[in-house]
Amino acid sequence: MDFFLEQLGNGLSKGSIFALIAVGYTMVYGVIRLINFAHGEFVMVAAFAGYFCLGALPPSAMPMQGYWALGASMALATACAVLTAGVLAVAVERAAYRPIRKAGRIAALLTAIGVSLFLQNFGIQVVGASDRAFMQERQLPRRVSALSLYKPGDIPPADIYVLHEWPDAATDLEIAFRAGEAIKPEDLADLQSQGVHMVFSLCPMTDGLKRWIIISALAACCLFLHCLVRYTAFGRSMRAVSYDIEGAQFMGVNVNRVISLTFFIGAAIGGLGGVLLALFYNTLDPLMGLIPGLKAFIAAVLGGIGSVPGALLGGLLLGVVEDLVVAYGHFELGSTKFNLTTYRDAVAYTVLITILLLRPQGILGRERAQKL
Amino acid sequence: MRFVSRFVLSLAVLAPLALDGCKKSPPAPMPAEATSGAAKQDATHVAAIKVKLGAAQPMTGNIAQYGEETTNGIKLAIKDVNARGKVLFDLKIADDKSEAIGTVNAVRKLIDIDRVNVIIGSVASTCTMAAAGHAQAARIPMMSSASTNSKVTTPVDQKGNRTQLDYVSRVCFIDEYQGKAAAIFAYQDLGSRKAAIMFDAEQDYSKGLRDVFKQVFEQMGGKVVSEESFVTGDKDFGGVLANVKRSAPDCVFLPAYYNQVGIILSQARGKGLECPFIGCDGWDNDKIFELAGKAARGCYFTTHFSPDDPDPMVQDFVKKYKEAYQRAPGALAALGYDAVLAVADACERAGSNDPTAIKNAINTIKDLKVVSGVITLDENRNPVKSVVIMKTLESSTEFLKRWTP
Repeated sequence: MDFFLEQLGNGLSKGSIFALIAVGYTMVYGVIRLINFAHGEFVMVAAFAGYFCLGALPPSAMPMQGYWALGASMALATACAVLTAGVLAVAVERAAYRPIRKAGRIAALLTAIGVSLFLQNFGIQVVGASDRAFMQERQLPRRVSALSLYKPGDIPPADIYVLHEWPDAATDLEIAFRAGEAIKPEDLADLQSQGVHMVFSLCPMTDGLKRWIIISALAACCLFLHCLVRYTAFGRSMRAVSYDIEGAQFMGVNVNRVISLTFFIGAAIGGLGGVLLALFYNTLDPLMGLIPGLKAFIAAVLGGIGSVPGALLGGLLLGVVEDLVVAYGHFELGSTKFNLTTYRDAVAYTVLITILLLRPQGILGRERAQKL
Repeated sequence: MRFVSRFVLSLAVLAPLALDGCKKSPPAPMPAEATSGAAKQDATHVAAIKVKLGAAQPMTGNIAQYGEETTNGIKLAIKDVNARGKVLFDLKIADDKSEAIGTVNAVRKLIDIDRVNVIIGSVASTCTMAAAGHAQAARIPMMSSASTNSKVTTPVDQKGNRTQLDYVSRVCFIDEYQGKAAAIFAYQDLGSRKAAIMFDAEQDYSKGLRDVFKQVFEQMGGKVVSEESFVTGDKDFGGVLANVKRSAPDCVFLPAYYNQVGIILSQARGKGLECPFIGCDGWDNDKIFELAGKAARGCYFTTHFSPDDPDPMVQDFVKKYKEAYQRAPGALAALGYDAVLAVADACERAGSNDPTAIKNAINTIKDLKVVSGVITLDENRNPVKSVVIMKTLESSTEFLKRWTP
C-alpha cells in the first residue's frame, strides 16, 4: 500500500506539472485554434529566468531563516519566471503569429514549430547545452545558530557548516561538524580560535516538500483560472472570442487584446510549471521544454483540447498512468518474465489512444465550438 | 517605425548565428612555434608526415561536457606531437550532437568534405557504432577514444555473427573489463550480496555493462534483485527508484552518464535509498557534484585514469593540461590525448598519411606507453589495460585502487 501511495504521489506531482503546462496549449487553442508548439520553450525560458533569479537571490541570502527564506526566494524567482514567460509569449504572438493569423492553420503550425526550434537553439547558444542544477546545495535555506550552543560530545543530526559572514557567499560549504559524529573538544576549540561565532545547518528540499509546493501551485492555478474565465469581463470576452472570433469583434470586443492576454496567461502558468519542473528534478537545460511540452500537448488533447478543466485532468491522468506502468510493469506469465518499464511511454500512450478512440473529442471536450 | 522594428528583430535573429560563425571561423589552431620548429627539422631530417585528423565529438547535446574535455585532450596532444615535428596534424572538429544520427553526419562530413586521413571519435558507444560502418566502407581508420561497448569494433548481427571492422579501433578498455571490475568490487570489497541494476535502455554502453555485471555478480553467488530501465533524457526517476527501494538492495549498479547519474543520485537520496551506487567511466565528471551535491557522496565508479596517479607521464600531462585549461583533466581528456598519441605512433610507423597504411599500423600497436596506461591492441583492436576504481567524496573523487584483469 505504501508502495502504491508513493507511486501515486509521484505520478500526481509529475501529472500536476504536465497539467500546468497543458493549460497554455488549451487556452491558446481555444481562442485562435493554434497548436502553439513553442509553448514548451516558453516553459524552458521561464525555468531559466527563475534559475538566474534564484542564483542572484538564493534562500541563503534572504533576511529570513529556514523555510521562510526558501519561500521568499522561490516567490521572487517564480514571479520573475512567470513574467518572463508571459512577456515572451506576447512578443512571439505579436511578431510571429499575428502577421499570419489569416494565412491558415498549417502556416501557423509551421511558424510555431519554427519559433520552438529557434528558442531551443538560441538557448543552446546563450546558456550552453549542458544540464545545470536548479538549486545547488550551498543555496539551500539555512538555519543559523551560535557556535556556543554546541558542547563537546553532542551528536548533530545533520551536517553543521561554518558561517563566515551574513549573507555567506562562499562557494564551498565548510564543514564544522559531521552528522552522526560526536563533536570533539579539539574541533570546537579550533573553530573558536579561528574566531567563528556562528554556524548553520541546511534545510533540505525533500520530495514531500516539493510535492506540497507543486500540488498547492496547481490548486491555486485552478482557482485562479476558474474565477478568471467565469467571473471577469476578460473571461467573458475570451469565451466570446473562442465561440466566434468575428462575431465578438462586431460586438466590440478587442480581439487582439484578448488574444495577447490569453497568450500571457497561458505562458505564465506554463512558466510556473517550468519553475516547478526545474525544482522537482533539480535540473534544467535548453531542451528541457521539449518532452514535457509534448506530453502536456498530449494531456491537453486527451482532456479535450480547448477545455481548461480537461487539460488539468489530462495532465494528472497522464502522469499517474505513466508511473503505474513503471510500478506494476513487471509480471510473469507462465515462465516468461515481462518488464514493461522500458515500454513505459508505449504502454501509457496505448492507454491514451484507447481513450481517444472511445471519445475522439477528449474526456471533457465538447464536439461543437463553445470552448473554455 | 515598422522598418526599424523589423530590422531590430532580424538583428536579434541573426546575432546568435553571427556569434556562432565567429566562434567556429578560425581554423584549428596550429601553434606557430611548433610549425616553424618542424620546418627547421624538415631541412635536416625527413619531411614531416602531414595528416588531416578528424574529430567527431559531442560538442552539443546530452554529453557535451565529454566532447569539450576530449577535444581539449586532443588539442593538447596535437600541440605536443606537432612540436616533435615527425607528424603534423591538421585538426577538423565535427559536432556529433551526442546522437547516433548526428555522428553519422559528422563522420560523413569529415570523410567527404574535409577529406581527413584518420578520425578520432566518438564518445558514446551508440554514436560510434552508428558511424563505424561508414568509416569502414570509406576505408578511413576511426579510433574511438572512449566508446567502451565491445561491439564497437566487432558488431554482432541478430543471428550472432561477428563482423570485424578492421578500420575501427579504440584506446579505452572495453565494458567487459569494467563491468567485471565493478561486479568483483561490489561482491568482494563492498560485501554486497543483493544488487539492483538501473540502466539506460537506449544506450548500448549501458546495456552491455548491465549484462556483464549481472553475469559476473551472479557467477560469484550474488543475486540481482531488481533490474530497472530508463531512457536517455529522462528527468523523472521517482517510479523506478521506488521499485529499486522496494527490492532492498545492498548496492545499485548504475551504468549511465554523469548528467543522469547526478539527477538519479539526488532523487534517490531524497527517497531515502541510502545504499552505495556503483558506476562506470560515464560517471567521470564533476557535474555529478553540481547536480547531486552531497547526495553523490559514498559511491564508487570504474574509470580509465586518475590525475592523482604518481606516474611521471601522468603528472606531466596533468601539469600541461592545467596550464592550458586551468583545471585538472578528467578521464576523457586523458583518453583524447592518448588517442592522438596512438594515431601519431601509427603514422610514424606507417611513414605516410595513407589511410590504409595508418590502419595497418594502428592495428599492430604494441606496448605503447600512453597517459592511461600501456596499451597493446588485441585481435579485435581493443587495448589490454587496467581499470581504476574511484570513490566519491563530498565534492570530489578519490583514487581507491587499480584493478588488472
